[in-house]
Amino acid sequence: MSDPRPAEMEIEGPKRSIWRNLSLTWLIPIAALAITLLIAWQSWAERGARIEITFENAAGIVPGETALRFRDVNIGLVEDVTFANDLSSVRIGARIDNIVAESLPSDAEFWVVRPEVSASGISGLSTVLSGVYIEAAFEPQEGAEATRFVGRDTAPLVRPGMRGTRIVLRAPDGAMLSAGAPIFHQGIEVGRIETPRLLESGNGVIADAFIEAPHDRRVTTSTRFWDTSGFNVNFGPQGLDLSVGSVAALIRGGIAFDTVVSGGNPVPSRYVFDLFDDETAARDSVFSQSIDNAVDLVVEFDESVRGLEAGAPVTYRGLKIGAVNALGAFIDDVSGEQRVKLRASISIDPRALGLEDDTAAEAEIITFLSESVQDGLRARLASQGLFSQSLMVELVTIPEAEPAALGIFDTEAPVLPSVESNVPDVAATAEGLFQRIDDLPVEELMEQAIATLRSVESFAGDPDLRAVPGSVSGLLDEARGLIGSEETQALPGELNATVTALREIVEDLREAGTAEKLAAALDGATAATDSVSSVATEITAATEEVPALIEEMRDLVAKANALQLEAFVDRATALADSADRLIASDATQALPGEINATVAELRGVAEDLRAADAIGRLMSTLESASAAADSVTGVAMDLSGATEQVPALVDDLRRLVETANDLPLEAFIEQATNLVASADRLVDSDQTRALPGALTRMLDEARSALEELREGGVVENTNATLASARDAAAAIEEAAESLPSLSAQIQSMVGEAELALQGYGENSRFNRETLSALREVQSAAEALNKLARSIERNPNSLLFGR
Amino acid sequence: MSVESPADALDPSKLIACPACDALYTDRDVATGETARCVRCHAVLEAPRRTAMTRIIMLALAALILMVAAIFFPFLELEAAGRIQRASLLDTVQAFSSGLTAPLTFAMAALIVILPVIRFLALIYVLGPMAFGHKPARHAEFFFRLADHLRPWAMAEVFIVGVAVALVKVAGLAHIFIGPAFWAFVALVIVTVLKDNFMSRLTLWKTLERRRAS
Amino acid sequence: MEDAGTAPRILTAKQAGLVGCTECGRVHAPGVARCTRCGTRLASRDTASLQRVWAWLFAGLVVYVPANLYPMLRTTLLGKTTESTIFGGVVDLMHHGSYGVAAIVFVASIVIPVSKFIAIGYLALSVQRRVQMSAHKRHLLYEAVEFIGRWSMIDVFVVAILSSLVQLDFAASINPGIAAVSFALSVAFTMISALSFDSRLIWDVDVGVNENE
Repeated sequence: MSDPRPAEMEIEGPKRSIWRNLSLTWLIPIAALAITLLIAWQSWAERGARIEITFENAAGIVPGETALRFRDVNIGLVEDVTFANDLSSVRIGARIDNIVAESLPSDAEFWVVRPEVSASGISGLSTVLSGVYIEAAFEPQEGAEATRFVGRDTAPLVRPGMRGTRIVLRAPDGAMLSAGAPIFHQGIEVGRIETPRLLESGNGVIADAFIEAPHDRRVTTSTRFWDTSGFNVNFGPQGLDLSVGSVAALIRGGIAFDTVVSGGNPVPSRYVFDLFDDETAARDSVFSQSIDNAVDLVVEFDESVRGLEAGAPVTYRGLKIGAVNALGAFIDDVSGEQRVKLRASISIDPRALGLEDDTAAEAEIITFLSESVQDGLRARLASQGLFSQSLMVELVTIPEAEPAALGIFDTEAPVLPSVESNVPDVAATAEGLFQRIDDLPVEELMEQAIATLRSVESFAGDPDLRAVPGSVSGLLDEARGLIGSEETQALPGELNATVTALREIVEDLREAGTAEKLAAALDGATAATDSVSSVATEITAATEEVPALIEEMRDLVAKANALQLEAFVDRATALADSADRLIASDATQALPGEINATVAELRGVAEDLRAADAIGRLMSTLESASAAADSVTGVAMDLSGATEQVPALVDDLRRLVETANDLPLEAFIEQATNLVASADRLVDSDQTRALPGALTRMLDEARSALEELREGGVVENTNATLASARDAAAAIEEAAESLPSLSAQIQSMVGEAELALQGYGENSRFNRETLSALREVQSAAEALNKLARSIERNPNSLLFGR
Repeated sequence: MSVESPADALDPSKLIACPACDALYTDRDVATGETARCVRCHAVLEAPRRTAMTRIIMLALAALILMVAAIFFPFLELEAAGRIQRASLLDTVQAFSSGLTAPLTFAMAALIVILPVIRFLALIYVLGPMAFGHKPARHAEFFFRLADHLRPWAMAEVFIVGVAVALVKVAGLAHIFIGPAFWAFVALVIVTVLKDNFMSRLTLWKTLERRRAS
Repeated sequence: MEDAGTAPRILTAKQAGLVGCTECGRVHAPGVARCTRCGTRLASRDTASLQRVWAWLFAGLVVYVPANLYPMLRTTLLGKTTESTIFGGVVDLMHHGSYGVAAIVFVASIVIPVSKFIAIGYLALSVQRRVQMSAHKRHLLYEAVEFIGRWSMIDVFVVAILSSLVQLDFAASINPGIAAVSFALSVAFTMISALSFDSRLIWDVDVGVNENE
C-alpha cells in the first residue's frame, strides 16, 4: 500500500454548452417564425364567421370566388359547396365579416343574383362579367347571430325593411298576372306582384302583391283591382270600348286599382282581392259576391229572357241595386201540367236600397221586401237601351198589380213575383203598327168609296150634268195640252240635270269628310227617332180612333148621297168654267216655259257653286243642319205633344160630325153653295185672271236675277248665300236653344268630337256613343230588315188583306 | 501559397486542388475570418467563419418557415372588370397544368418549392448535429453533396424577380394586391442569398470530414 | 493571401499526376474512384465532358427555335384570343410604353440565351483550339455564364404568374403557350451544358501555352 497521493482531478473538457453556438442571429428564424405565426393568427381571427345557406342548386357559385353582398358591399365569400345529407339540396358555406355576422337575424334572405329578364325589366347584367354573387337582405338586429339559412330562388318581392301592405290577388286565369308586374294607382307605380301560382282547387290563380307605403293607405276593402296590361276591347251593352294604357303598361303589363266606393275598412295583411278584366268590370263589380250581406232572390219569368245574361244589372227606378247571378230553367208542376219556367237568381245590395249596412239580419231585409211586394213591388224584364237587345231586371212598384207575396222558403232564396215586361221591341212595335194598319177596315172603306163614286156617277148620268163633263173635259184638254207642251216635257230633263249637278256636289261633300258631322247629325237623328218612336206610339194610339171616325164619316156621306145637289152642281159647273178660262189664258200657257227657264238657271247656278268649291261652307251648314235636326227633335217633341192632342182632335171631329149629323143639311148646302159662289167670283175676278201674268212676270224677274247672279260673280254671292243660309240655320239653332238641354248636348258632343280627334288612346265618349248609336241603328236596321222581309213575302197583305 | 517543386513527393492529404482550375496548393488551416483564394482564378478556397454553421442553419430554418408562409398565405390578388382573382403560390405553380404545357407544372413546383426545400432540409440535416457539437449524421456527405448540386436549380430568387416583372406588366391594367406570402418569399430569397454567401464549400467539407473523423 | 504575381507558375494536379476532387478540393492519388472526403466520383479530366457540353448545347439550341416560333402567351380579351411569341411580347410591351419591362424581357429571353449559346460554344471551342482570349478572361466568362444561366427562367415564371393571376372568365384571361415549355427546356439544357463543362479544361490550355512559352 502506498501512501495516499493526491488524486488526479477529473478533468472534463470545457463544457460544450448548447449556448455556445447560439448567437443573436438565432433571432432571425425566431422572428420569421413569430411574424409568420402572427400573420397566420391574424388572418385566422379576421376570417369571419361561417354561415350556411341552403339553395336548391349551386348554379354559378364558385367556392372561393363567389362573393356575398349586402347593400352592394362585399361582406363575405363562399367557402365551399356541399350537398345536404340526402342530396336534395346544396349547402353553401360562406364566411362573412364579423361585424355583419353579429347583426344577422334568422329571417335574413339570401338569393343568387344572375342576369334575368323579367316583366319588370332586365336585371343583374353586371354579373355576366363579374360572375354571380349572393345578395343578402335583412334588417340588422344587434346580437342576432344566426348561422343557418335557406336561400331563395328569386329576389324577394319585399326587402326586409320595406314598409307597406301585403295583399293577395285572385284571378280566374294567370294570363293577366305576370311575375314582377307593377301595380299602378292613377298612373303611378305603387307596388308589385310576385309570381302567380295556381290555387289548390285549380280553378284560379293567386299572386302575392305588395303595395308600398304610404300608398297602401289607399287600399281598403272596397278597392278594386283590374288588369291594365295591353289594351282592351270591350263590346257590351254600353257599346264598343277601346282603351289603351300607357306604352309601358302595354309591354310590362300591369294592374291598377282604385277605391270604387267609399266606406271601406282598412285592409289586413294578406287580404284577398279579385282581379277584374278591365276598369269597367271592376267598377261594376261593387255588387259582386264580395258584398257580405247581399240578398239573394229568385225571379221567375214566363216570357222569353233572351237578352238577359249573368251580370246584367238589377235596377229600381233607374238605380242599379244588384246584379243577375245566374239563369236557369225548371219544370213547374202547375195543376198537373208540367211547364218549363225560366228563373233568374239575382242578388241585391241592401245598401243601395237605402237599408243600413249594419242591419246584418237578413230577416229584416226579407221583411222589408215582403212588405214592398205587398205594396206592389214586382220584377220585370226591361231593355237596357232603346235599340239594344240586352235585357235587365227592373223592380217596379205597380200599385194595381195582382196581389202576390214574396215567396219565402226554407232552403231556397225568396221568390220575387214578376210581371210581364213591356219591352219596347221595335220590331214588334213596327210589326204591331203594321198589324193594326192591316187590321184597318181598308176594304170596306174602299167599297164605300166605290159606292160613293157610283152614286156620283149616277149624278153625272143626269143630262144636266152631262154638260159639265164637256166643259170639264175641255178643261182637262187644256190641262193636258199644258202638260204635253214641250217646255213641260223638257222639265224632267232639266230637273234631271239639276239633280246630277246636285249629286256631284254631294260627292264632293262626302270626300270632304263630313262623316263626323253627319254622325253628329245622326245623333240628333237618334234623338229624333227616339221622340219619333214615342210619337209613333201615340200615333198608334191615335190610329185606334180612326176606324170609329171613318164610320161616322161614312154615315155623313150616305146622308150627303141623299141630298139634292143640283143647284150645287150648277154652281160647281160655273166654277169649273171660270177655272177653265183661267187655265186657257195665255199667261198660264206660258208658265211651263217660264218654269223651264228658271230651272235651267238654277242648274247653272248649281254648277257654278260646285266649281266655286264652297263645300266648306256647306260643312258648317251641315253643322247647323245637325242643330236643325235637333230642333226637329224638339219639334218632334212638340209633335209628340201635339199628337197627344190628336185623340182630343178626333173627339172634336167626332163631335163636329155629330153636329153635322144633326144639322139641317139644307142650311149646310146653302152655305156650301155660297162658298162655291164666292170662290167663283174670286176666280172670275180680274185680279185672279191677271194672276198668271203676275206669275210670269215674277218668274221673269227671277230669271234675270239668276242671270245677274251668274254674271255678277256667283262665288261671292254663293258664299254670301251660304253664309246667309248658315245664319239662317244658326237662327234655327238659336231657336232650338230655347230647349237648353239639347243645345248643351250638341256643344258637348262637338267638343268631344274635337277631343277625340286630338288625343289618341283616350277613352272618348264620342267614339263610344257614335259606335253605340251605330249599333242601335244596326239593330233597328235588323228589325226593319225583318219587317221588310215579311212584307216582301206578302206585299199584298198591306193593301188587300190576306 | 507556395509552389512546390514537382520533384517533391506530394502527399495528397496535405494538398488541396482548386476545384475550378485544378491548381495545387498546400493545405493549411486558415484562421477564422480569413479567406483563402486560388491564385489563378480567384475562386474562394477556404473561408472559415465563426459560427458559420450556426448561421447557416438558422438561415435555413428561417427560410423554411418563410417558405411555409409563402405557400399558405395569400400571394397575389388581381382585381379587374369587377372580378377578383386570387392566386396563391400553388396556383402559380399550377398555371401550366392544362394542355400541352402540363409537364412544366412539375418543373415549376420543383424549381420554386421542392428543390429549395430539399436544400434547406439537407443543410439542416448536415449541419445541425455539428452545430451542436455532435458528430455529423449518417449520409451527411450525400446530403451535403445533394444540397450543393441542387444549388443552381433552386430558383427562388429568379422566381421572385419574375413575379416583380409580371406585376409591373399588369399593374397598369388592373389593381394588384400583394399578400403576405409575397413578402415572405422576398424574405426567403434574401435569406437564401445570405446563407449561400456564408457557405464556403471547401471549408464545410473539411469541417465535415474533421468532425466525422473525430 | 498572397497573390503570386502576374505569371505565377502554377502546378495543376493533373500535371502532378494527382487528381483533385472538383467538389471538395481534396487531392487524391490517381486511380481512386471516389473522393474520400465527399464521395464524389473522381476524374482527372472528363474527356467525355466536352461531348456532353456540345450535346446539351445543341439540344438547347434546337429547343430554343420553337420557343421563339410558337406563342409564349395566349391572351383572351373579351373573347378575342391573341397569341404572342417572346419577341412579339417584347414589341407589344414597347408599343404599350413599358420600355423597362420590355427591356427586361428582351434581355432575359433573347439576349441572354443567345449569348449563352455563343459563350458556351466559344468556351468549348477554346478548349480544342487556340483562341485569343486568355484563360483568366475565359474563366470569368464561364463564371458569368454559370451565374446568369438560371436567370433566363424569368420569362417562364412571368408567364406562370400572369396565367395564374389573369383568369377573369370573360373579361380577360392569359394562358401559357407551348413556347413556355420549350423555352424552359432550352434554359435547362443550356444550364446542364454549362454545368457539364469542366472549367479546369480552360486552364489546361493556358498551362499548355504557358509551358510552351
